[in-house]
Amino acid sequence: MERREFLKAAAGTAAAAACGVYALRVLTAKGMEGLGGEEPPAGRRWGMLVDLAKCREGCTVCLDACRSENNVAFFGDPRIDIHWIRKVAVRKQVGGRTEEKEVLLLCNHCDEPPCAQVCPVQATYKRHDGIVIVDQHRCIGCRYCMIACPYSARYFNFRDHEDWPNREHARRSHGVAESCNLCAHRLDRGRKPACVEACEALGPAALAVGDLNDPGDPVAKAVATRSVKRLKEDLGTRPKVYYEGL
Amino acid sequence: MSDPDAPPRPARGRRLLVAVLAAAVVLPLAATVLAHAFSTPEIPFLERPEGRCLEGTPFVLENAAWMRFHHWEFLRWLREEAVRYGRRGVLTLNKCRECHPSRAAFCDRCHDSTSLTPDCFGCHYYP
Amino acid sequence: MEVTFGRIEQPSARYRLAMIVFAAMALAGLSATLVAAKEGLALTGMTNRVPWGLQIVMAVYYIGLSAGSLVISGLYGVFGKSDYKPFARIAVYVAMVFLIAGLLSILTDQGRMDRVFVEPFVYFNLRSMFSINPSLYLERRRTTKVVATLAFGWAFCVHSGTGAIFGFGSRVLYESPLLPASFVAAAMASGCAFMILLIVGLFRATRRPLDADLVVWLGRFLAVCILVVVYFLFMENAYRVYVVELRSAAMFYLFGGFHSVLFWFGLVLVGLLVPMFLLFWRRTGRDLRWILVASALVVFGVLCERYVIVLPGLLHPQEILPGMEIVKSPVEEGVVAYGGSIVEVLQALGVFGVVALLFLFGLRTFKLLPSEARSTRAAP
Ligand code: SF4
Ligand code: SF4
Repeated sequence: MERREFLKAAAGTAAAAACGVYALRVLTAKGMEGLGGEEPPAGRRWGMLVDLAKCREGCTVCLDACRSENNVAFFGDPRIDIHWIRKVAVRKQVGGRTEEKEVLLLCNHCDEPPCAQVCPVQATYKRHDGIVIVDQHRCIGCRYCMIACPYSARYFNFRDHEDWPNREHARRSHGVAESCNLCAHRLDRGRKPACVEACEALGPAALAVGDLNDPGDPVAKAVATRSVKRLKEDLGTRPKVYYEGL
Repeated sequence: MSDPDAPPRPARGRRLLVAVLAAAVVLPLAATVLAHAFSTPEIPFLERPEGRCLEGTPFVLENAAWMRFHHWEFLRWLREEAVRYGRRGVLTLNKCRECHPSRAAFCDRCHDSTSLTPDCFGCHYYP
Repeated sequence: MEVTFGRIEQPSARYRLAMIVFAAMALAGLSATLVAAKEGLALTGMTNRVPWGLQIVMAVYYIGLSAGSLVISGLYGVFGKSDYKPFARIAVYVAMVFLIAGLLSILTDQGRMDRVFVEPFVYFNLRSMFSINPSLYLERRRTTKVVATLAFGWAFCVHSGTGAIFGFGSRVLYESPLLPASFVAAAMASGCAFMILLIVGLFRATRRPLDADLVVWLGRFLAVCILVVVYFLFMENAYRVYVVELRSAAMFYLFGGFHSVLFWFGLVLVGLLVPMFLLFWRRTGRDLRWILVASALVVFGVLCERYVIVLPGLLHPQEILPGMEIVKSPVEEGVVAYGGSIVEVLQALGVFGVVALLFLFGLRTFKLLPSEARSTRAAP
């Protein structure tokens, strides 16, 4: 009897707490415009185009821009270093001849993201505009998403790090997972991701982001008309990072 | 809990042990509770800049008390809006910093006196 | 005749000593966990390429043991084998304790343990096997036949679920439809073997009469479980070697490093073939001592099995750029290595210490120990 009453009381408290949170949400939901926060236009679907033919060999400008924009940890230990975007050199056999080139690898912002499917607390999720992002306030650090990502695009904060180049933006504590989020905080405010901006400033403009749902968008046009590839399309993850000249 | 059929247990030493352990847990708690019950709580004076908080927004505050007790819910709501729905306004933790530049004077005093250690500042810059 | 159950009334010196040893282990594990929680998981042997390590191996192992022990209690509860009634209570208790061990291993492995008690309950993700699993774990009870049957079926679901955590991943060596099934088989083998050891040990230590026939029959049961495990292992690997796309991964699995040693010697030879021989051969299969040896080997072998389930799939590289070979990268590409660190080992020991403490505590608190266990019929 006692136990049942206790359970009842506990359930009641929990329900009341939940109502409180939602009440706040309802009460304040209207006021967002005044804060300068706008409902982002519906129906956008961000995608990225990487033009490897334009990408300069040995150049690391976009990588550095990403690191200093997003405070990405670097320890100098390849086992635990974090690279939201990384550059790898590959060797490929083309008609009996070996070809070497460099490829940029980053989170592909899959339309069917396995990482988000497995996350036990929905810390990793796909936003309405297609960006796959980790809610660092919620991640419990189980690392299941790292197991599930077929592109090894996820990294874990094995340690705290001291560098904090961009003080306006958050860094991460140890114990959470992270990956490229397409600079969602910039896109939401109408700016381009740091890597894209840096590459454009440098000249080659090998990177571009755009709304794949907008037929007039240059990236969407390129994807529709030129010969682009995605990584491991056979898996059905439907990546939104397109490569030209892979 | 005790079973009537069970043979009597060798109890003396054990009971003493349990009593000591229970006292070790209960007494400090009771002392703290009593101490607080008979003292007037001291709400630390927080730095108050000129002007009203959130001037020009629907949240403009007439009294600071609302913010004092609800800022965490408010911030958490802003956070959910920004992180999960992409609705980012000008109001962020960075914005708080403009009027309240010192974390020690603004946040920590109250958090310290209420023994709260919020998780914000490991990742968000607030000097 | 009616079996009565009792508890340990007068703790012996041995009991006290065991309590102290396990408490020390638990403390060591606790301190290792606290240090890791403060400093970050860099202290473990895990890396970005091998994000799961020893603790997950242990978690999987414990959960297997738990389901396996429940099967022993099911002998009476589900299949009505009244000879095994004396063991039912203790088996259920052991299953519960191992379940705690499994969850504890997972818990101590999280990057942000502080959030584990909040986030999964607030934001439950129905699509993730990881969160479906613990809720399956939470729902097991016992006693009546119906409930016992339910629990039994439940154990199967749980265990297939654990298998599915790995089975549905995107990695070549995880991608096996047989995995959940072989998982259950290995779980039953390890649980049965562990219960044999535990039962004989407990009855000896507390000087209670135990009919050897019962243990011999359990040994038979264990032998059958081993057969099933061997069958699944063979099918799985034969399939991998046969399919062209999987062949290089299979070769890596079978001959690629430390895990292959564990596979061939730890699992196949020591953990399966030798015990199977001991259990099936007439001379040794009826000898209590040899059955105990075989059980100990199986308990060890299944631990190796859990290791070779979890780790090779991570050590083997995923093919990110098909048809191309990555020659230079800022992160680890290709085959990588994993070595558990002292922190992980201490954590694993600590979890074991905790569950052993819980078990010993249960012996004194609940009436788990039967007065005797007698066979009602002739030897099988
Ligand atoms: S590339 Fe990996 S991390 Fe990015 S969305 Fe796809 S599965 Fe998730
Ligand atoms: S590590 Fe974090 S983001 Fe990844 S699955 Fe676990 S909780 Fe989700």
